Amino acid sequence: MPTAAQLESLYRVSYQLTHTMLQPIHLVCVDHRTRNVYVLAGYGEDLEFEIVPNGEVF
Amino acid sequence: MSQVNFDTMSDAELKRYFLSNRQDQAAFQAYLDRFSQRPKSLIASPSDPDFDAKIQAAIRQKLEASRSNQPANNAVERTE
Repeated sequence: MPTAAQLESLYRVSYQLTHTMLQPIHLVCVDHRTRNVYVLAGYGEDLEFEIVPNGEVF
Repeated sequence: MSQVNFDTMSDAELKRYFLSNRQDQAAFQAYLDRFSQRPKSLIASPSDPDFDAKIQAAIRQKLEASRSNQPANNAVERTE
């Protein structure tokens, strides 16, 4: 499971992607080796984000 | 079980492959390995007062970057 900080950042990123920028999200997944949340979005499947356990977005 | 050689795929090909073969954990892990090796910069921290604006700016920037990489192919491509 993601951390609470990751979930909060994930919500805010998802909101900006889908509500503000009107982009679809294709995949949200935790990399179990690094515990990072991976997000793949965008009509061109080219918007990628990584959310580390402390909630920082890369 | 057939073995797919991910090493011969480009990043874009591997991405397409794992999106159409989501049960293939090895493909996704292989992609994540490549993704984690790419240099990345911090976009926003939860403590940033302008977190949302930073995320929005990053999305815009990424969209513009991908548009300029493929000017003739910015239409939505749908495969059913």
